[in-house]
Amino acid sequence: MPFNRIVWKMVKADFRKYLFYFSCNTLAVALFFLYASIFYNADVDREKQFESINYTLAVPGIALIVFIVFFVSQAHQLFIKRRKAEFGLFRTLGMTNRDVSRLLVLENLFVGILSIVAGLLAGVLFSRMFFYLMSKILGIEAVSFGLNSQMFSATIYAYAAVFTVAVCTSLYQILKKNLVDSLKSDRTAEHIALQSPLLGWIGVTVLAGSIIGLYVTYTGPNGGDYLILWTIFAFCGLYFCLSQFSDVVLQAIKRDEKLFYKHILSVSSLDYKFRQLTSTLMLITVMIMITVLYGTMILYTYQDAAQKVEDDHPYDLAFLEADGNNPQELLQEVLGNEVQTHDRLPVFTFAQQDPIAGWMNTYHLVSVEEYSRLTGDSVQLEDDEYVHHINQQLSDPLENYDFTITFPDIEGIEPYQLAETITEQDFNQLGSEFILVNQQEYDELKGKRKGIEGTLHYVNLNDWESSYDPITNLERSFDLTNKGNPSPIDGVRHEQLFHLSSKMEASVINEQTNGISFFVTAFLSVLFLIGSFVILYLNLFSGIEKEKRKFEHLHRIGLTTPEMKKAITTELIPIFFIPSITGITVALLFIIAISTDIGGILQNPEVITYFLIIALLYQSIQLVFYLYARKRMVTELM
Amino acid sequence: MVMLEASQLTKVYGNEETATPALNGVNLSVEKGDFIAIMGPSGSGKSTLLNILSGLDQPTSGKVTIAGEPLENLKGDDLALFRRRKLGFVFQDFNLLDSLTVKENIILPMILEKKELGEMEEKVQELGGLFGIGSILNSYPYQVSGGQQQRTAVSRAMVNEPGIILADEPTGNLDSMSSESIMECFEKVVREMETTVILVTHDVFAASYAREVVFLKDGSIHSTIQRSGDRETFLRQILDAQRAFGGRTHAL
Ligand SMILES: Nc1ncnc2c1ncn2[C@@H]1O[C@H](COP(=O)(O)OP(=O)(O)OP(=O)(O)O)[C@@H](O)[C@H]1O
Ligand SMILES: [Mg+2]
Repeated sequence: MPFNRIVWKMVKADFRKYLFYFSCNTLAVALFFLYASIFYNADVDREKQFESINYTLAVPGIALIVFIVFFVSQAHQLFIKRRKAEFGLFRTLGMTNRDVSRLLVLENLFVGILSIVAGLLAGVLFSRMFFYLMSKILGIEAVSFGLNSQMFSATIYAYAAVFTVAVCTSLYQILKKNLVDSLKSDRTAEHIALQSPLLGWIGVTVLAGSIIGLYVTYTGPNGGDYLILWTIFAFCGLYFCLSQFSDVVLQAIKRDEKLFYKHILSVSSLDYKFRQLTSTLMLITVMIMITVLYGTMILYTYQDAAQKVEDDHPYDLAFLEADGNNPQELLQEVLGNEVQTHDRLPVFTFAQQDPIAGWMNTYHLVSVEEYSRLTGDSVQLEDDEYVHHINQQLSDPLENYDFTITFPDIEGIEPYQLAETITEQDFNQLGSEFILVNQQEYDELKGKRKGIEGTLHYVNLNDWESSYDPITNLERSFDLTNKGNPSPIDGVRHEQLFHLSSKMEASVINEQTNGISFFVTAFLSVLFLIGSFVILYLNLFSGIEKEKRKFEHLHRIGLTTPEMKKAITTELIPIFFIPSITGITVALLFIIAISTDIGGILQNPEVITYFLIIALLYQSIQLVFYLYARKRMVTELM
Repeated sequence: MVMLEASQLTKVYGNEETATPALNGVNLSVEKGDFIAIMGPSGSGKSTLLNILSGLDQPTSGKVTIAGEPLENLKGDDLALFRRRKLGFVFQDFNLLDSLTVKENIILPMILEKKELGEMEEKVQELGGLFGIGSILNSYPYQVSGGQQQRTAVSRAMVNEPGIILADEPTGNLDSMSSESIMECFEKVVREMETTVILVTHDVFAASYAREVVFLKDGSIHSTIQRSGDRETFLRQILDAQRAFGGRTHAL
């Protein structure tokens, strides 16, 4: 059929247009697949029963849906805008509406299917690379790469749904529009259907309301579910704000002739590309928000967990030595050269029933002289006096706890006087409470009750982090010694008394439990970081040909290079910096709201510090990217 | 007073192997208030000549002087500023900015020159009245006809009161009615403002508005005819001259 041949020829001639459309769709599919590859990852999936990971995934999930909806429909509209004039031409040449719709559906089906195939392939590749980089750069190995059918089907379903809606909408628009309009369509300006500042204010209200709502409900029951709901609301509100306010601002500038004329080229161009502009702003804002929010969360989790390991382990290694097992030899054997300091504290360890909970508590009876030698505190005790040292950092004042004990709990001896209660984590946890008495009392009391006489060993190594293997060996030996041995104290298990407390082990455990959510968060924030830059890039350089023609022409009628640079700069600045400022602000509000979970932002000022670090970092990257984009743009357009 | 002087202009496109000569020694002298049409077969070098005269393109050899200023002395942005202040351009495909209204398109060169608001307003009203586009000043280019778009372009070319207007086939995309109105605009420009107009055209009818027609053939000036009588006579003269040198004729 000759007509089909003509159509095919036009497709070939205008290959770039298709290529661009195809690339956008492929990118959308690939990004969605990347998300799916983490969402349906087997390791992550296992973790989903522990709710928190679900919520970690929820916010970017919604953002990603927002992303593909906007991005695919934007790419589609751009494509159709260019195609419409051609469709008009075909119709003047005698093509019926049916022919045009068939053509539109066919070519979109073609591009759509090709994009799915290419997008999935690219997605698998990127995902593989992502996982590799994560383990290489960040050293997180909690999650391993894997593929399953769910990842593919979810991606295809999500993309196909959005794509179909976009195609149907433009099909409807083309058939409804008259010929003349469609012939001109490439040249008409875009405007939003609903123009009203009121809608903008409603947007602000919805946005503010959702954040307040999140703040109020996040700590309550089902707080996580509310998070999803509030995020959806917040994004809707954000969209209305952005679309209405960019419009209001642009119109206001246009009304002020002096101001408008000063920036006539950039303002009119922004106004002209308005719809594309708003969806771009929206997309980038959301992406930046997620990146900053998640970046802050990662830093917090990472720092917090690492700090906790440090706090809980004042010494690199600690263990109790008593009759019958001699871990000191083991230590010498395995870590002989690595030991930096080695402190010993003679103790008498006994168990006593907790007056409230009813279980057996272990206490270490220590002579105050020995204790002072280690801690540096100088405590003087009379006979019949004792100090109760609770080896813990308490988050509330001491009055809120009940640490009352009867001491000594020995028939025929009057209870001693409690001289002081110290709450400080000075030692690793090997039974958490110490009773301090003077040397004479210590010698007397230890004969009078059941318990074991031993020595607590506190060891610091030259570099615990590089002693992974020896520590693991040491630990294994401890486990072997403990295995099956009867406990010397009733009600307390043998391994509870004689385990090895090591900073290394704690940090390994910490990395494993936090690893998955750390991985997911890092993955998503990097994904969104890249996403936002890709969108900006596509947005700036997709219509470059038209811009080039425009500037060529302006140069002919006398536009100078500095004037052109200025026009480009004023056009780029809002595109780059409105989203980053808005996104960072919304991220901050989200962080404040979510921080209620860890006792509020005021109790955790370090969260703000982390936020500032991430925001600043992002802004700097953005600045570099902006300078690069501007430079490229100027060279392209000259 | 000589407005534009071109001497021994040659232009060769491409490198040594692919050299295409487009102009071979063109001499041209244009007085203030002249109205010149350049005609010639396709590929004879008309657009090339116009681009060189306006400083958009450099000649391979030869010299162009406009209002006493040798163009070779001007570089880059100075040339752009010179074009903006001293020259006006009209193109075949109008070249208006779709994102600006008719009025904004017209005053764009004034805006670039940072003129006063009042002055711009005055100028746009004056030109709008002169060229009959006063009623569409607030429309966008895609909302008005081709003739109106071209009149907008003529207004824009006139807005900084240049000494010369250069136009490359300004009526090429227009029907005869609109062509007529554009040529009348140029006539007004020459008559009322004493602006020099140089235009390239294929259209004999359009050329008949000029005072002088220069025929270009294979990159050099073949002949020149002056208008002495009324337009109809001149039109016939142009047709005859065109037949004589074997170029294709344009139906009216
Ligand atoms: N950029 C270029 N590179 C190489 N050759 C060129 C270039 N521009 C024009 N030419 C050649 O120079 C010669 C003159 O071209 P020019 O465009 O000046 O002709 P013209 O008289 O304007 O033709 P037309 O009436 O079709 O517009 C032609 O042979 C053309 O092929
Ligand atoms: Mg030409």
